[in-house]
Amino acid sequence: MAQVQKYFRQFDEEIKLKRYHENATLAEKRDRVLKTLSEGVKKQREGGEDIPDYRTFNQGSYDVGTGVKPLDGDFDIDVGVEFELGHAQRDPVEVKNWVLRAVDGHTENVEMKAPCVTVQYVTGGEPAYHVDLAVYSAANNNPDRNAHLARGRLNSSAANREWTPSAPEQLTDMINGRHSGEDAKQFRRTIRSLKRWKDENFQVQGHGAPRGIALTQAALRWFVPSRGTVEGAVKYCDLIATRNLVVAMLQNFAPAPGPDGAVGLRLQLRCPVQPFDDVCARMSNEQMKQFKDALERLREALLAAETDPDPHTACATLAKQFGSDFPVPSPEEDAKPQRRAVVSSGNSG
Amino acid sequence: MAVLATEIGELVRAALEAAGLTDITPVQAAPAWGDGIAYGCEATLTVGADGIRLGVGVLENFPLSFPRVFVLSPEHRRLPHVSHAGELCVVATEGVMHDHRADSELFDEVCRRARTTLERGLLGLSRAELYDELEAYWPTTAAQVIALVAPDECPRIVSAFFRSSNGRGKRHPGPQPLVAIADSAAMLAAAFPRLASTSARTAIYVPLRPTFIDEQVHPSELLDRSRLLSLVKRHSAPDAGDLLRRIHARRDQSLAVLLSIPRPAGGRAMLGVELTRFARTTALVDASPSAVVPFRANRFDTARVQDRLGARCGEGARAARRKVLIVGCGAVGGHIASALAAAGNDLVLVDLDAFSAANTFRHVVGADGWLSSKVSALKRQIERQYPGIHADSRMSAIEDEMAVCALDLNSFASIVVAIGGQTVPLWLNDTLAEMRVLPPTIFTWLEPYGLAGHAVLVSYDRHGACLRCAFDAVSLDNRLDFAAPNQNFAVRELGCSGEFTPYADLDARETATLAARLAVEAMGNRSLQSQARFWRGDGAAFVRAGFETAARFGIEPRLGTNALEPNAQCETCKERFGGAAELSAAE
Repeated sequence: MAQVQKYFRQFDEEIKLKRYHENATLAEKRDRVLKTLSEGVKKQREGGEDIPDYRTFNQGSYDVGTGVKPLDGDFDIDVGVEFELGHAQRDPVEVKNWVLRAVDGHTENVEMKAPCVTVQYVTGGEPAYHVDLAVYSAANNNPDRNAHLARGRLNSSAANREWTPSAPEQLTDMINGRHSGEDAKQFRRTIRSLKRWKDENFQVQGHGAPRGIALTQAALRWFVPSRGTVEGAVKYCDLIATRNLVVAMLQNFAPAPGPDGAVGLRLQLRCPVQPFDDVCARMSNEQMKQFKDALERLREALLAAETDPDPHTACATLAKQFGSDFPVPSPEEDAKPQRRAVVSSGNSG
Repeated sequence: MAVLATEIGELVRAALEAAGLTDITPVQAAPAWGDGIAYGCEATLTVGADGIRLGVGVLENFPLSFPRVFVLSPEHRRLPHVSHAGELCVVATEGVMHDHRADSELFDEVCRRARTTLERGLLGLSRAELYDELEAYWPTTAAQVIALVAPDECPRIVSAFFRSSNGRGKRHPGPQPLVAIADSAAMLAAAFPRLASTSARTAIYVPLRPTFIDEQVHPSELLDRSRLLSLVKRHSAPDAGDLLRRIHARRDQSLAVLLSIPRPAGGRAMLGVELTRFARTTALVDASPSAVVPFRANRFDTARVQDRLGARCGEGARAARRKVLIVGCGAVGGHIASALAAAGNDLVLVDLDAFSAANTFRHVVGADGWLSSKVSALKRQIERQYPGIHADSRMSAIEDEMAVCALDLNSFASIVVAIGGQTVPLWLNDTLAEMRVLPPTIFTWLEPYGLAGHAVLVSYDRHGACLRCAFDAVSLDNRLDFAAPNQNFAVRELGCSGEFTPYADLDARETATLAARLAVEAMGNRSLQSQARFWRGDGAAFVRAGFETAARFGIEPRLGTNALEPNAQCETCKERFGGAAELSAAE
């Protein structure tokens, strides 16, 4: 078996969004948007709009440390904006509109999408990063004691405007508290590598790709740290940890109805907190099949890399799955041959 | 020994820790979970998100043997490659080697393979393997019972044979043990004469349908007395129902049932159960046995004994049944016949000679040939050694067989001519050329004192050289020979009637192997060109005996193949192709 752990770590260093360093720029962008939001809300109140108090909080991969650098360069910051109001009191789009009006003009591209309000930053004509502002009604104002996410666009019909129960901070706490120490680091490395694998192997647009949150939730449910002890020193093996997670996902594909009602082999990943919905629900059965096929190819590549005694070819196999950021040592580099314990032999007698 | 045990124990534990297994117990000597295991630990291996509890240990002869892995968690013991006793098959012993010095790496490798095997099982990727290897999952501790039952799809009554005496002529104490199950007593007696005196009882053969596999029934479910008959009823062929109604389960007797299950890879697996202690005498379909005792079918049916046919280099999958004519069944022809029969070919054997005592040490049948003709002794031996292979014996000269058109030559896949001397082979060559027979024809002979052996392939249905092309048209010297021409090698020990050519059995075997392999290749590849293959010895005994070698002896390697060059002077080819010039053009 080739020693590839150091290449998994190098790969992770290459792809991960560092929470305190690289993200500092993004945090600054976030803070500027939030300042604009605060000023915009204040202005609307002065204009007579009855807007209750609100608070903001970080959510998404930015907050739980599972973010990866996007291949298309469009970095993503997710922020929750929670108003002190009961969801029955206001139309969700009306509440989202407070936010939209507050940040409108902050950049040239501010848009109300169904689950959030997006402020897009552009550099040289290309998207550089965006801040997604998800709007909630606070839990303590609702009879079910749940926060509710405002969904709908400006022109949505009444049927498509809704408040859906949601617990983003609970989910964040769950992810942050799932593992600790070095195990937690491997947990995050594994999620990040799968997210990059997803970006490399699926079209970014549409529902063809599994969502990043789906991979995170799969890890939340099935990730098991993989480490051995050699002469008292703990050694982590990301290859096995990743493979075990992939295997667990493959094991859990089961017949279920897709969005069109037809039954297919599907991976259902229900959110462990409100709204308890299946984060893969929008993928068609055909997209699910492609997802499963891709996972099977990934498993086979991980298996091939595990059995390959040569780090060069093992990493080349992995790079085909994880993309060119996965380091491939030259044949000469790190070429210490691994002693093989068992070999095939054609001899017989 | 105590030091050794500690060392091995520490090695096992450290290796499992390094391989990432968790919850490792202290080393146990002779743990209960592994029969024959000297030292082992229990540990948990994570596969997917499942923690699979394993027992990992070593036999006394470790590191000459691989570490063994047993699955301890009950919910994982039904995965493919987990035996009835829980042992996980992680390393096949055939086709692999390991270095006993790499003892700690062995554990790493075994754990890696265990993970992969279990992973494939959990993902359902090895389901077909489970049903292909059903017989291996049947309890290894169960009694071995000889089975001579054709593995077909026809449910039927067969015979079970029980040992009635204890071997010293006394009645066997307690229930009589089942020793064999066969389609008929005659079949059993023919194959196993020692079992002819066993007492026979009714048994049944029940083939199950592929639904057994489709519904993923695990073989261990067949050992559940409350489920066995319902599973059999559910998955057997419709006409098995009538059989189950006709057969009566008796209170005082067990009933042997041989189940056969189609394998995804082809063929059928056979699993045996003896149903005992029925509550009452009733039709089997309504019966309820108090116990189901498994037995392992030690199969001798034709499908099983021919299982490894065709596993030959270059021949690929099992060859279709073919028939080969062997002309000359002496030392070389006898070994060729044996080799081609073992390769799955039916044979027609033609030879006029009786077997003499002096043939004993250089003929494949040995003393079994005494007082027989060579062909009948060879037929007898081949049909006994290779069940299902048919050998037709003709104690006759080939010229007589052909004179009465007794042989349909084009019905053979190949013709092998292994006659000592060159008169008849040359005549046969000319005759076959004139007939333009279709089968590839091999002429084979050996030279004395271990000098050489030859096999020449000729295809008469195509352009190309014939055997006569190897002979000088004027001198009749065989240009393929390694002996110089015009020497007489015959040895007389008992006067003219006892003349023989001196060569050893090994020379005959080597020549036969050369010819048989060429025949197999020619049957598998009809475009194979006419050619001459040979082996040659060192010539020392030949020269010591006072003979001279031909010039080519010093030129050719020990083993070689040459194209059989057309000879412009060959009368036979002139007749075949209408002249030497045309022959050249054709080539």
